[in-house]
Amino acid sequence: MLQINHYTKQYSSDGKKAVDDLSLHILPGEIFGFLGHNGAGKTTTIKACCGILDFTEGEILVNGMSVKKQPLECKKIMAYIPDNPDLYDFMSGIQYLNFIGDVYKVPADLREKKITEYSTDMGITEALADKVGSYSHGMKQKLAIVAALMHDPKLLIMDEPFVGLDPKAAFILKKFMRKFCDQGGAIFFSTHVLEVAEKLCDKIAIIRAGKLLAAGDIETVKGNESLEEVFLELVDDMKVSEEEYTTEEKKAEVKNA
Amino acid sequence: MLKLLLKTRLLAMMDRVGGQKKSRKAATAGKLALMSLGGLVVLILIGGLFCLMVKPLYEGFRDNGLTWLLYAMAGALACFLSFVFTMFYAQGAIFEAKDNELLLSMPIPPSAILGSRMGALYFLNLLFSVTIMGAVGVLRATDGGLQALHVIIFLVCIPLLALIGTTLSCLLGWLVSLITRRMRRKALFSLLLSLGFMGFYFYAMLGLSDHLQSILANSGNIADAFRKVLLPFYAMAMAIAEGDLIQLLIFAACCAVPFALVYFLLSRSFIRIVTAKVGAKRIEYKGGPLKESSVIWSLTKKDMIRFFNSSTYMLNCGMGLVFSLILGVATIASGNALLNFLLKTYTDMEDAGSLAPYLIPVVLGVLAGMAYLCAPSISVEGKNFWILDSLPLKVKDILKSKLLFHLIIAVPFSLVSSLLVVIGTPMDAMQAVIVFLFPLLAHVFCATVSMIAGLYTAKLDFPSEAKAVKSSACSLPPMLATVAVSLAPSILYFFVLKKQGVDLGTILMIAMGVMATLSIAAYAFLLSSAAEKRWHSIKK
Repeated sequence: MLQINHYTKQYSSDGKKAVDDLSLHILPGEIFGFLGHNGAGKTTTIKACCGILDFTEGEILVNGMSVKKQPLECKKIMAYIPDNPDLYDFMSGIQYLNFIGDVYKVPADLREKKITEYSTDMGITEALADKVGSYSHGMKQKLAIVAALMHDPKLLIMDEPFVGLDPKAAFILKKFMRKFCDQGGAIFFSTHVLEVAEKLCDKIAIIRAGKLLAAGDIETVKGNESLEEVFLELVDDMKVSEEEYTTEEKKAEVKNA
Repeated sequence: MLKLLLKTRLLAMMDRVGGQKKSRKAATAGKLALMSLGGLVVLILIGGLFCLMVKPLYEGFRDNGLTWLLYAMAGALACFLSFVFTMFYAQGAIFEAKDNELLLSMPIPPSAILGSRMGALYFLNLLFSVTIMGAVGVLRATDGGLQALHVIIFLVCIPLLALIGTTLSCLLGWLVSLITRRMRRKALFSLLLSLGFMGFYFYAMLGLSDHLQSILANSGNIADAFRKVLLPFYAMAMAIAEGDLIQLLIFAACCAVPFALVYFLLSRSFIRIVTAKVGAKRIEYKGGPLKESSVIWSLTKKDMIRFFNSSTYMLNCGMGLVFSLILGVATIASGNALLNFLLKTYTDMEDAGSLAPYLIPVVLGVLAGMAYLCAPSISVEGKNFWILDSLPLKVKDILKSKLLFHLIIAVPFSLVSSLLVVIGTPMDAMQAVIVFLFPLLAHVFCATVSMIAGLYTAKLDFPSEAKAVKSSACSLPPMLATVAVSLAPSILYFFVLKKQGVDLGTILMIAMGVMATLSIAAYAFLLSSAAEKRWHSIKK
């Protein structure tokens, strides 16, 4: 469903790479967790997969279509939920969802059904008439999730989707993610919460300073240890301290975020 | 602490005026000096203009032995202008500042936070006092009417006067904040309030000579009113005019006591005021049928909702529409009077009567240049840009929708204004066609140029929507281009073509052809791959 082949992103001309030669393959039915510290290159990779950030080398394919060459076709079958959902504050929740429905050409009766179903699950139905600007961070996140699901995407790309969600919404989202993938969809998401990744993901990839450290089935990657232990070991093995991240890389991540 | 907070506020204000600086050090050196110099020049120009305006009044008062009345009126005017212009600033910077909660979480006394914000507000009010009172002082000084003691009292009165404006701004800003917190249509309320003040300002300025005559004729009654009702200004005026120290003390008390009282009251309740979560009444969503729209129409509606939810956007980019409507209404109301005014102002010819119906569409065309609605429409996407970017949208559809948003709002205003002009002005059918078509094409031209300017000057990192909307980089090109295209035919006619016997109507028809051609060319460019490439480079 999502193929990342030798993806490289270089922000500055001095040769420093935010992401270097990353290759991942996410199959239909898989929940793929993307782990890494702050500034590792997770958001940069995710944005490139969504076609909203150009990249230097490599290729990203969504359902066999190139994100670079056929961005619109790719975007039609995927949905993106950013880590900080800056939605249209001036619209009401329902106006925003209707707008998304129009863009994806979701028939009116179907969008009504989906809005009712997903917004009820997320517990935001009653607030849909209010302006998005009056929503809390968590409610915006929930609205972004409902909007992302409106057109039945085949691929969901999410950047830290659990940030800001209350326990109930997080639980519902996790259940939904499993159901979505069981029905043939694929999910590629980044997270800092290793417990979530350990329980939820079929496969994971760990990235550090733009380079892939490990990837594969979660059981293979972690072996007999906990994911937390493996993650910390891998990071420690690299002997890369926080100070080693250059200002340029940090700037690139900040700009990207 | 207060000093540090005050410095932060003043630097934030300078950022608003001069744009954000990459380096604070650079901002505080040469650029700061340049900005101060620029500000000083503007103040001197405004003060000079005011000086010229009130000179007849001063001479009249002086001859009637009421010189003090000019000081009193200038003081009242300075206070009025300062509180009108800083009221919204007070609302935003004191009561609804985004960093209030952050500062309150730090070990900073609320009185210091409030003090710093009121200090910045006082600085703004001081600029008004200096400009208005300075102008009056210069007028009196050039007439040899100010002696050393009077000058000292005068200089003491100016900073005291700014306290009155600050007090009023704080109170009204608080009131506006209390009202708008409970409102769902805050933008409309702010727009109407701003238009109300603006209307009053234009009414006062347009009839200035009549008002001055009326003031002179009733100077005795006005002087009485100041003595009985507007005591602080009377005390200030007497202190300056007569060198009366007792009156100075009364004036100082009138300024300082209310200011201190407001500061005391607000600082005691500051936490409660700024952390009150009143909010607008929530509406419960009860479902209902949803309407499908095409992609372009849906994008257009999105931009329209944004526009009508922002009083700053409406006031900055839509004033030309309001003015064109006012022109239409004025034409209906005044009939030939407006035409005669235009003739007197712009022409000095025997055949001027036949040219008059052509001048109004030209003015409407110029006003179209003041309605550059879609120019900031890309920059205002700001943090929301990712939405358009991540959705399966064609760039040309996004640009088309923004153009449509501009025209859907501008065209009805243009048609109604033209209709009012046609009804209110005697003209033949061909002239009526020009009255309708010329402004309409000017709007189309302005829309396409605005879109190109918006595309090429787009910045997604403006700190606020207001800053994006007020950016001159996107607004100046369409404004100047539309004004130039609208005015050029008339200028050409009066200075060149008239001598060759060419009819102004014909020239305007040619100009319309030029506007249409340029608009089509600009539209074609917006649909080109170059525009698409530029769109994709915005986020880089």
